[in-house]
Amino acid sequence: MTTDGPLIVQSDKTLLLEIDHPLSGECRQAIAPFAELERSPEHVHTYRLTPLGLWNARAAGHDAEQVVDALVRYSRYAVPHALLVDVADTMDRFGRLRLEQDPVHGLVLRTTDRAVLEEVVRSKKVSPMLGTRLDPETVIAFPSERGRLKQALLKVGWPAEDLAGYVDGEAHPISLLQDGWELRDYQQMAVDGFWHGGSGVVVLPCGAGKTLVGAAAMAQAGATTLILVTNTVSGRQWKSELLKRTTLTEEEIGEYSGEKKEIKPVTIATYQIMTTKRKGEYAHLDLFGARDWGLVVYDEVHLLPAPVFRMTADLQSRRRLGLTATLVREDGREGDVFSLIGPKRYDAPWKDIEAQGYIAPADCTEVRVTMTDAERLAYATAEPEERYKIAATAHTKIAVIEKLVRRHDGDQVLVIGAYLDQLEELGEHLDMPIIQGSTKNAERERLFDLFRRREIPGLVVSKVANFSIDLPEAAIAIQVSGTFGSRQEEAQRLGRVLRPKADGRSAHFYTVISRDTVDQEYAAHRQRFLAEQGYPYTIVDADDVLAG
Amino acid sequence: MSSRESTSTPRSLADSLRGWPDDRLARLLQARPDLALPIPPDLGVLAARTAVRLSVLRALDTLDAYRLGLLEALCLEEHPLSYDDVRALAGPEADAGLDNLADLALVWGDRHAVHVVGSIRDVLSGSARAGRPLADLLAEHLNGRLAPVEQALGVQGAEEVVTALTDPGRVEALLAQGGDDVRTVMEQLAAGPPYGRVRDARRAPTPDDMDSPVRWLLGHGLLVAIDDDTVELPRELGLMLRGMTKLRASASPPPLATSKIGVPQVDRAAAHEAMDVVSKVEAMLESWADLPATVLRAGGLGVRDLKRVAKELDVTEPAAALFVEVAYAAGLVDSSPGVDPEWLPTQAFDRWVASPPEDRWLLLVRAWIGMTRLPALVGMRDERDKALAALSQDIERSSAPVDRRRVLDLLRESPPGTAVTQEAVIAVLAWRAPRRGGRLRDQLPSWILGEAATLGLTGRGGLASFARDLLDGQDRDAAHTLAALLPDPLDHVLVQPDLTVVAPGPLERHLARELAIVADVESTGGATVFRVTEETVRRALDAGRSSADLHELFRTASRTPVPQSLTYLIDDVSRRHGRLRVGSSTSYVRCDDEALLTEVLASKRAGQLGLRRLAPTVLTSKAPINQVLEVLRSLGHAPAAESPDGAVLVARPDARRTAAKQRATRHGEPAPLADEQARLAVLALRAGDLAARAARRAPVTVSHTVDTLAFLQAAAREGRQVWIGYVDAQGRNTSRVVEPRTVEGGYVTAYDHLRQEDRTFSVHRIIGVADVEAD
Repeated sequence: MTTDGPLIVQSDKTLLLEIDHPLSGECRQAIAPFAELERSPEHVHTYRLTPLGLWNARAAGHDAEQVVDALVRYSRYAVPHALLVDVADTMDRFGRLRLEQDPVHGLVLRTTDRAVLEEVVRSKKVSPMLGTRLDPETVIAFPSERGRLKQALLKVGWPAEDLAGYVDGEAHPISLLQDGWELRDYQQMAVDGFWHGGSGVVVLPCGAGKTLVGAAAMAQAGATTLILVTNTVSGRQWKSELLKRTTLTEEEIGEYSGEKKEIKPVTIATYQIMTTKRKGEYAHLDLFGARDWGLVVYDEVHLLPAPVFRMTADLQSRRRLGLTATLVREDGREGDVFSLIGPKRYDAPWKDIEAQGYIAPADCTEVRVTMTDAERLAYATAEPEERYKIAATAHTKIAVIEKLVRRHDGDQVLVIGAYLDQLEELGEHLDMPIIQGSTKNAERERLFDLFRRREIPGLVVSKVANFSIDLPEAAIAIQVSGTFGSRQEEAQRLGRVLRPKADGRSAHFYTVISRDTVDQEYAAHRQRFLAEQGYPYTIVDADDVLAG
Repeated sequence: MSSRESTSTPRSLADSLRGWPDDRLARLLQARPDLALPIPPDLGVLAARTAVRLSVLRALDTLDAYRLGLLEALCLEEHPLSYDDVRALAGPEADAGLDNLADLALVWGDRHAVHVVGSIRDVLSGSARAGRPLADLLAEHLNGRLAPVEQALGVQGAEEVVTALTDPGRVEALLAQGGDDVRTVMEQLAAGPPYGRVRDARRAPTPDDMDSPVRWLLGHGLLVAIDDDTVELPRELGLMLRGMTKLRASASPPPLATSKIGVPQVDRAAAHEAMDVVSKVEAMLESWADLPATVLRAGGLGVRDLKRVAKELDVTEPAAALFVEVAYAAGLVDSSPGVDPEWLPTQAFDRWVASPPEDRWLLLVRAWIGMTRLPALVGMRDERDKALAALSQDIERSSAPVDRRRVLDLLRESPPGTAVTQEAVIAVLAWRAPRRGGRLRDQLPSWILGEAATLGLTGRGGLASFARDLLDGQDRDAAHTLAALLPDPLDHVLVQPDLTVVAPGPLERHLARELAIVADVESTGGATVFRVTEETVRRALDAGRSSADLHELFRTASRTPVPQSLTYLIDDVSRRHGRLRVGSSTSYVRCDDEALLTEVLASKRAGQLGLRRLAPTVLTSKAPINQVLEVLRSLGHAPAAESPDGAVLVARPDARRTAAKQRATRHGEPAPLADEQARLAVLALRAGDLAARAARRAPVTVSHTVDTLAFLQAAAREGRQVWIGYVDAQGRNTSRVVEPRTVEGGYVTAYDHLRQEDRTFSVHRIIGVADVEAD
């Protein structure tokens, strides 16, 4: 006996959602608050129930009954009773412990369940962060340990609900300048979700306007803000976007980087400068205390380096907003993001946003070239660690790349690679300027600017282009080599061309690989993430490209 | 007892049994089947057997709390109580209860004096035992120290103390005076055992030393100190208090509390679990076929292998132990023969896998219900702190099937579509048979309920309708009901661009098997998610599928368009597949001179070597090196041997199986007797009894053969029954009543009342004869 629901609950706690089912939209809304979207390929999306996701849902005000109800209502087959019990048990663990602000004692850890408090105060990992026991239900927590305490409590399986609130920080009026544009629905929902939750992470695809979510959050906070970004160029883009979209002026925004050390009401700092050590000490930790920040924004939170995590642990009384395209961290530290930045407050499948027209549709194509016999021999006899480079930089690729660029004559093209000599060779063949690690920031900006003004047809870029650089006009990306099998990198690179085009054209994302080599294997691995996001790859043969 | 019987008062249990009608005897044998194993020769032996401790223990195990209470009450007094006495203590239901105890031959006598079978008193000591009579206690322990008690009660001398304390009105007044604490202590001791421990018990009580209830009671003689730290409640007072508190157990069981769930909900949940069990057992055994678990030296399955099962199936270890045990009980797995035995699927497994899911489930569950093992014990420690292993002798418990049946039958009584809590089941079973299960009494039901839920007999706490059919013995109906609950097998899947294949439900067997070859299972449950990788495609090609087969499989099975990435993957792998060739040969011949090899190949004599030219300069041969060398030498060449070993086997060995061993059938508890069996047993008993009584009058001297012959011939003529004493082939002396038919050639053919058939006896073995009917 089965009902005809769109959802199938698996015994490993994954949920399969059949997209073509008429109830799938309704079901997705019901399960999105508590289940993590793991894969969203064309027909069946996979969600996963994790303790973290369930606690996220609790933190956002959902209870176990809603979760169980959603699972039972939409499930096609009987939901294993044990799974439902487990869901209820897991959710019940959240909120037994609460971090509160006590008028007399300051920060305290309070419980509704004495046994739980007994357990955690006895835990070796937790007890050093707690002070005297005030009464059976309450124990003093050291404010300086607020973040680490939350981390430790999460690890012992009793996540604390942080109700201790936030300091408002130094007020600084900021508002959005919505002249000729307005915040999109999903951006507004993301900001609302974040603000009501206090702190947390917003997950949006590349190109969906995460900067604007940040700006709107700043306007909502109306306070001094510290923005942490991946690199200087991306920092400058933040700055120009803020100038354009908000009432902030040049005077109010400071850059804190290797080049400049400005501290202003809104300060943009790079991860790199924060992790720079001098004499074994982090040299720029003072920045966090330099002002009474009311909001800290972490751009590309999935790349947040471990030392910044540790610094963040000290910032628990400040509101924190994380922005990212994917919560999947290659280092598996999603739990730290949850406890230190905050729970996920908003996310939406890429394809949904594409359907709303906010990101450009993209065609992903894998072009396979066959190496010449000489190249194959070189490849076959190379040391294993050299093989990827040999395959990825095979000379045979050049002709195909040229052909692809010519095919899209008139479009702005990005050629992205990882090996400098290959990039130089390409730059020469295609007659395009090259931007790489050693290119000075001023030169980079000049070239990006030329590109944006369509004065050059394209750019050959190295890994520097993996991170947020805003090139709305780029419609074609050709990937020639990469960092082995990094799925993260693939997503970022695709993100470069997803900005919606003025005429609604599709973007094209090409990956040129050498057939029957590790290049092809890595490509398969890299593509998995995008395939899971619903971007299928078409495979074509280089001969067809050359002939066409 | 009941009016059916002779009015004369029986003198003993045997005497009483002789007065029973046949049908009552038959019911006794049915209620206590162990009495009929083997069928006792006569009623005297039957009576003796009913009093054997082990048999009594078995019988007591089947009694409910009320009837057990009646027995305990009867044991309190040394002298037999009357029905009226017991009714006063236990209420109007006592009559029926006592009749029933009599039917079970646990008590005998008549309405005025109910005798308890002797050994019951020993067995029921402890809780039922009352203390010693007050007079004895006073004489033994308070001799000369009676003054404080006399003073407290205002009487003189031991006799007056006894009189005062055996007067119910007086005692009730005393207890009222003592207060609630005092009464609580008394009631506890009255409930048995009648001893309490207290410090400094012998300290002489003084009027102002009555601070604690116990001291107060000691001071009033209601308790007696029997040594420095023990007090005893005198018999009279214990009985009096029990009379006051009445019989503890109620005459009817606690109601089985149920909560409404709904039949479809219960059935769906249970069917889901049922399917899960079937697929998990299959997965476990498939895994063992590839990588068998080792059999421990002491027998059983090692902890590491059990953990492996738990991990692979993603279940808890107790659930893993259950699956292992059930698979074993169902004969799907057994240890392989040999020096290092391994646990391997049996041939029966292949048949099981091929049968429809509902039948597969039925086989597992039938095996579970009947198995004389307790999987829940796996992992617990025995008295030597050794962990009990799955599949070992340690967890053999002959009572397990009966215990399981009791729990399931109770569930069967709950209305369909309702859930029953574990607590309710435990409470009802504790009333129904308080003594059963011993130490594990209240744990067993919770284990059994847990296992029933895991196996899909219950869903959301209620018994599924197909499980009800099964318990009623309607296997076909059960299979039918279950099959209707299971989702129909699908003939299609969804193939996705990320190379996953989603089967949104159970697949048809053929499709499932093909997919399992060409893809790895990533997650299971309501649906199955497969992932196709280079490796799995290669595996499929190795298994003999061609790339065209694979394309065809996905094209026909996929409801969504086959993504190009999959098409390419299959083509890529198949293009590379087989470019490198691996084969086996026993030896090779190589030579830089191609012409020489051609010459060897061309020679007639080399034909026997099975030579094959792999390359211009290499030949392979099926013959061993020595033979090749020999033949080449005989052809006039001078070959040199090269590295003698070179054979590589590539074929994957066949999936491994073992033969299921003949298992020693273990008898659980004695099986109940069918009506016909019971009737026959009573017939035999009667015959035996007849013989036994005749034997008492039989001639003690050995009859002379001539006399014997004459006697038997006369009996045969007249069709009389006679008693014969007979020495059988093993030299055992037996006696039986027979009806001789013919006497000739040194043999007597006679109808044997014991065996109920004609038998032949050698005349020279007959040691005595006597008439029966003169009795």
